[in-house]
Amino acid sequence: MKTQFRHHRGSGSFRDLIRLSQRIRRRIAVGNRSHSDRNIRRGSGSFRDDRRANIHSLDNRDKKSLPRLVALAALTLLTAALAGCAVEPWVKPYERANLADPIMSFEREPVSGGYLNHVYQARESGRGAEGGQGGGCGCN
Amino acid sequence: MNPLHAKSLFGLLLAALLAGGPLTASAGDAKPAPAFTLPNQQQAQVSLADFQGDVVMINFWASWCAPCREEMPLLNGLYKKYKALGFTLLGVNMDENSNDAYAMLKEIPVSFPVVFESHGRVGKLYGLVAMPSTVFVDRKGNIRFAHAGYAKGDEKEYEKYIKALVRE
Amino acid sequence: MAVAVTEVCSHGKQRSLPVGCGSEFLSRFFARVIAYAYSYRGRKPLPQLFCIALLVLIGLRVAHAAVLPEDRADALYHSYDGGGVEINGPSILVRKSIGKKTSVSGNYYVDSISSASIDVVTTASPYTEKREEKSASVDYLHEDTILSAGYTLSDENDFTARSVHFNFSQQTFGDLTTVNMGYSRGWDEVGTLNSSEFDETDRQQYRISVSQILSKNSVINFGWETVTDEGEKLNNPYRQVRYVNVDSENGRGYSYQLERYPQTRTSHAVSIQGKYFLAHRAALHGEFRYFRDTWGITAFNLEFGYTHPLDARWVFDVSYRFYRQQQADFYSDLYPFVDAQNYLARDKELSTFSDHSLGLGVAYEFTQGTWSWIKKGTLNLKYNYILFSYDNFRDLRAEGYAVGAEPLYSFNAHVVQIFASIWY
Repeated sequence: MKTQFRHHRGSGSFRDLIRLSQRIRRRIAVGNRSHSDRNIRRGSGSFRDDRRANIHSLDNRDKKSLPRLVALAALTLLTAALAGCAVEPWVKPYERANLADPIMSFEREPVSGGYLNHVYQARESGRGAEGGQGGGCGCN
Repeated sequence: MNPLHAKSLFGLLLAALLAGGPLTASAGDAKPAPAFTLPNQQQAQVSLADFQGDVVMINFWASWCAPCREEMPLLNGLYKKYKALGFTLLGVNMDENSNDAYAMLKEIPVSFPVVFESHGRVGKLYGLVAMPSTVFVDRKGNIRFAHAGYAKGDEKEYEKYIKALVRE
Repeated sequence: MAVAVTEVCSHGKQRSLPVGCGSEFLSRFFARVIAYAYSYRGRKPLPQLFCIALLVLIGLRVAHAAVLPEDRADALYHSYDGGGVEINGPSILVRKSIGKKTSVSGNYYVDSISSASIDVVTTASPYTEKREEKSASVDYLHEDTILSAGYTLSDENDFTARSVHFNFSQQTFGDLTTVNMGYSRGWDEVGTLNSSEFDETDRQQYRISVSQILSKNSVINFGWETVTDEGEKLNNPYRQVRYVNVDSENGRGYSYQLERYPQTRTSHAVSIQGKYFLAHRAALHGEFRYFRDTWGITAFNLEFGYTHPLDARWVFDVSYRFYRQQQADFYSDLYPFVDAQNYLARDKELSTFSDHSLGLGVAYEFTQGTWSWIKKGTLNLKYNYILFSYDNFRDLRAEGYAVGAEPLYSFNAHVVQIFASIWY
């Protein structure tokens, strides 16, 4: 895949994005009424133009701000999460037999894990990011 | 130019929100239920088409899935209650190793037909997003309702769908 | 809750570009992020990476599968014995869902402390005290999101800590990813027994963690947490530092003065954890964490563990953890003279040291049986042996050594946990 990076024409790129999102949203609304409009999304030239227009050349940014990068990464996740996105999972919900096993949980025994963290926190300076959540079967 | 200042970030966030939340198919949409044929515990082939003319509630489950276990006796109750009205429940087990499912059925026996899919193909066909998943097929063979997951009390929703469909 | 099952099923193998949530928008957004990340490092974006990001974004689909934590109750007795300190007490944790969308939990925790630690032995007198901690939290489930809020109150005779917690957890990307974000704010009130004055410490915590299912058999978790403390007394009000004094009263060539800490501390920690399911039903786990703070402390820990179930009833655990830290800038085991610098600390927890911890655990599971409202239960025994070795903290109990030439301190601790859990 080859993607071109070009300077953007103006500063209204985010407004464009919002407008685009609204357009997508309208299509979702249409899609809910009728299932026959899938092709609209495929061909539409305006989307391609938008794509080129919105990817900037990023080389001349100030390079001092690592925290900004971290914040950006966090924001990416937040944005994606808020958008309610879901990709086609490469591990399907019905393929989670092993992941659903309690032995695969990061926090099988919350009361015990919490206590041991407390012990380490009392005897060591290190604190935070002890981890714990996640895994599971994705069962409802 | 510095497009990553705070306002822009806010804009992005807003855009993401505007891009819309989850898409849910409205419950009334009719779609033909994809056909499948799978073996039951006696290794006899069972097709969805075998139940043509009945209201079919297809329940996808697995032995390792706790909510599936929980709803199994309730499903059995629904099956017994409505089967005289031209209703059937078809359990589709998604365990990779069907023996795990046989063991669970020994523990929690059910009277409705259960078929076994150890390769996940039917799951893909139905685009399952959660375990368990349940779809309701009308007498014409169209999917009319779908339900992902199980939480206490969901059986009431199931019953509502069944009642609506058997009346047609 | 109706889902998008019908959206997919009529198409069979031929999948069209799904509606999702604006994949175009997001693919461009991700493209920007990746391009930015690479330009930051002064390189051009890798086309492959770019493609992967786009591929991941193609095929956006909807799912609803966030789950509230299970209803369970745990009763734990804990015991810590090491370095002259004995701490034990109960911890009770109860969690119950209310309706389909809400889950509440409460925790009651007690530390009964009897301390004759090396600090106490050398500069004060042994003491006993009790710390009680109560906390309550509420989790609310909305589609793929869980919102949590909690309150914790901790009480000791000269110390009260209150804190509030907020957490946001979101499942996304086909439910393979769980993003967690949290914020906590705490207020500690510290006093000294002989004075009615209290000093307040204000603490804020920011957390992000991302849990990612990599395959049918593996899951990984990234964590980041920043903590800031602000207050007059970040140190223990009783602890002392020592400095060289040839005319000292104790005749050992050094005297004591009270510790003096900065009034702010900010720390950052990042961690990565992984779990891997082994074919014969067993699990491996690994963890690495890196830590640094504005006092100049850097630390890391590394942990490996193995979990082995036996006949569906027994689960055995073994783990090893190594921790290493470099001391705070202002720490010293022995200052050259009184008020040698602005900040003074001789807290061994701020010194350079390492510890090794070996953990063993066994759990026995019982099902239903006598009490029909119980789904299952477990009985557990856990033991940790921890060995602490200090590189720059000397054992002042040793006699007959020159000032600053005393042997380095080390001690071991035995940590025992006995607990029962039930699910209902």
